[in-house]
Amino acid sequence: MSQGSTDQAFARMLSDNRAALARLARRYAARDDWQDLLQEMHLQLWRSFAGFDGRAQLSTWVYRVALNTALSHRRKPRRDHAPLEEIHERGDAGVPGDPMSVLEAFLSELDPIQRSVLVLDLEGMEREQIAEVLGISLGAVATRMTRLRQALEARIQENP
Amino acid sequence: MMDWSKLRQQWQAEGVGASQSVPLEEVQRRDRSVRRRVKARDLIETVTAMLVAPAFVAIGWMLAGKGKWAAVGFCAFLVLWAAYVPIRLWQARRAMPSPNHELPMIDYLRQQRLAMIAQAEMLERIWIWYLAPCAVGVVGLSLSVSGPTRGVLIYSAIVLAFCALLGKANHYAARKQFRVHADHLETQIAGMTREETR
Repeated sequence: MSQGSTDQAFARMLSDNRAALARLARRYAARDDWQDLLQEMHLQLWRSFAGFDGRAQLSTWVYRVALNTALSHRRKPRRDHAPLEEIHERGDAGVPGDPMSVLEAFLSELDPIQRSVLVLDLEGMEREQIAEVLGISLGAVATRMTRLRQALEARIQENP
Repeated sequence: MMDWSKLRQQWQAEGVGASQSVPLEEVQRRDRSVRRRVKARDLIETVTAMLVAPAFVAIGWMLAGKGKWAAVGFCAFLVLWAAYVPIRLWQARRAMPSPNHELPMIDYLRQQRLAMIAQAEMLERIWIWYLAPCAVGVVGLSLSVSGPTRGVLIYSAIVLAFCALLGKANHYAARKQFRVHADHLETQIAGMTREETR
């Protein structure tokens, strides 16, 4: 692949995934640090892009690089509460007591691995893909996902 | 009952309109900047050694003229040490597992753990290849030039104490920063593999 076409393919990949990457960065970095994490994700994707061999789906590869970057980027503690302006940016996600607000609080309490399972599920990935991103079996993904969904559902019911 | 698909839709709608596109040039510029910083760090280490080594060559040359051969020997030792330090640092960095972000998360965590342990070991051994040779060289040079005078003994004690303090600080950083992180990663990996065996 020539440099020009690599640049084009990378720019397209970044454009296709920009919202998903921003969502990930927000959940893995401190409130004032998520844009740094997002830039770090872009950088790692760029550095790894030439090595992408197409054996995995592009989306699986993108999430692998992004999540691994997020796990390394733990210089500052993750935010526990979103500021008001961020809540407004997220549209209807910030109404107190609504499922999205409960989800945000729930995610902030999970360890990074559990958070990854739930976040990838919310991103619409198949269980097989999640297993590929995390490097664990399909059964382990299913077990975790069931537990996480049950716990989240219980939390939502506690906050009608 | 929780509507999972609605929750997913709401999740995926976040930031779709708000996110700005990322100019490729910006990513490439950042990449170049990070690479430049790494090169600059290596250059500073080498230049420092290049400044230290000629200084001891000059001192050794001067002492050779006065026939102080033991002092010349210590100068030669310090020149070798100054030349060896950047090489040792370069070797240590090369031996360090470089992070491969494309790996599945569990393998990435294993790799990170190995990197943390390697980093800790490097700090724990710094006294062998950095502090001890420096202390021996400087103290030996002072004693061989002036003999065991009160001033030289006080100076030697300060040098040795400073080196011991740096060694302790590096041990502390290895334990508190890297060993703790490696243990934390091991717990995470164990958590992921425990699910496998259930």
